[in-house]
Amino acid sequence: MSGARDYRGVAVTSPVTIPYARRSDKPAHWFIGSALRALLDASGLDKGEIDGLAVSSFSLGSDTTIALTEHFDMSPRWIEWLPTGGASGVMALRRAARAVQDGDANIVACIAGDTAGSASFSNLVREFSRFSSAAVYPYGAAGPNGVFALITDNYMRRFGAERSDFGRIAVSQRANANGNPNALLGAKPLSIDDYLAAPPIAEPIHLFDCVLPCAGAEAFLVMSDERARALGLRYAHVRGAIERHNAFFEDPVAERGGWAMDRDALYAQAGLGPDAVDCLQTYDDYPVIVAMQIEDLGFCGKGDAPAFLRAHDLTVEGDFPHNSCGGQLSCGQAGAAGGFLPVVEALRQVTRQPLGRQVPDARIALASGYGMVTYDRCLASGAVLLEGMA
Amino acid sequence: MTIHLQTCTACGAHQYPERDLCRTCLSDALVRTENDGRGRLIAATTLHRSLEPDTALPLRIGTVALDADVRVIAFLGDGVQPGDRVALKAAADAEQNQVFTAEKDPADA
Repeated sequence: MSGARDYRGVAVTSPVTIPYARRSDKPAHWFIGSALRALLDASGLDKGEIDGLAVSSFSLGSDTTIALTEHFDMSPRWIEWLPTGGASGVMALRRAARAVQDGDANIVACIAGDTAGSASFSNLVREFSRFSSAAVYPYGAAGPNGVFALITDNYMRRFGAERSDFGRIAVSQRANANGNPNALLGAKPLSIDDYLAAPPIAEPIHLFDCVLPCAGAEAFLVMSDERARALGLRYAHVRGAIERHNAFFEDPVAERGGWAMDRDALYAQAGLGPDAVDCLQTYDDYPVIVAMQIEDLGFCGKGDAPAFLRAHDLTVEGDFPHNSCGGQLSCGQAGAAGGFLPVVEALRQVTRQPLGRQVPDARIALASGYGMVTYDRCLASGAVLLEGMA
Repeated sequence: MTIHLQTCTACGAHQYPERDLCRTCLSDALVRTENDGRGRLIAATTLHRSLEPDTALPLRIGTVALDADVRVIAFLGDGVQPGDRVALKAAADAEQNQVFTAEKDPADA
């Protein structure tokens, strides 16, 4: 059976995070440009040496990647615009890797950034898609909280999950966030009692199931491994990567995501299995989706995540390190940068450049993405396996 | 009470929300057909927050899997619980779009 070409020769380097803020007067362009500057600082490269640019953002208004080339006096020979939110980090990496392999670009900057303010989020939700405007927003205008409450409700009844199972995700991530200076909620302890007692937002979803929107940026570089070594940069190889969109569209309510369709191909491409993964970085805007990723990426069977969560310690020091920087639930979701966070954190862990805690001896990291609720589920998904090169 | 659903006259598929071509066969031959709106409530939530300040809270909504093989998010009538057979009732909004409420299916004994 033939699969996709491997990613040999490609290096992912220079994890960058522009500090998160709950609100900002600065536009998204400022966050993205700041990330670009930080990539140059981290790599020692000159701006003119970046000849590929991939960007994801929700708040650039009518501007996209092409406009940013003018904002920042760049003349890249390869650009990509990724309007795919939570899946955009994995998708940017896959595209940039192929550009480098094919010689269409030598050094690709992959950046996601967004601003935040009281008006931005409501506007984003109201106008998000034709289907959500027509068929979701009129029913209480709850935004993604309502959609994921429905998904969570079904999952709990179908598979016997309890709120405390999801609470394990929120609580372990809060512990992981402690020590990450960029995590907006990292300094506030969260116990399982706090989690269970929190006010309902859209039952069965309560306050600590909902990610905090914020401003910020996340970024990384993709280049040849030869170039990374010449620059003296720590880097990761890409062992495998997948994406799948609108998977299982006949399922009346989402119980599985695209990873379930392609995870065998992912591990086959990588030549390793789930047991070789040292840390998992999932897209966690809602805990139910973390449960789905744990299942669909092959760590347990469908519906078995509750038992898995009860049996494992998801902290950095535990037996199943997960969302080691705190993920979005404890860091906050800087718009599309939330979709880059798992990839950047995976890269940080395997190259020993964490903002906070380090998973001991992390060599193989799995980063997952999930995004774009246009109706009643997210459409975009992907995953990437990174191997840290000593 | 009936609702109407967009239907493809080439392949028979129903679709919701409405689209510009058939989601299955991409045909342009779409019409609205009457449907009894019967199905099963498969998920429910009670909203306690809304982005619209004049939403009356708490508010129950749910996902209905219609017998017509589409899924619809709808307001929930009193006492409707996941697993119940339901029937959708449609009201018209200011733009003449259908707004659905799922009530217990009277035909379901």
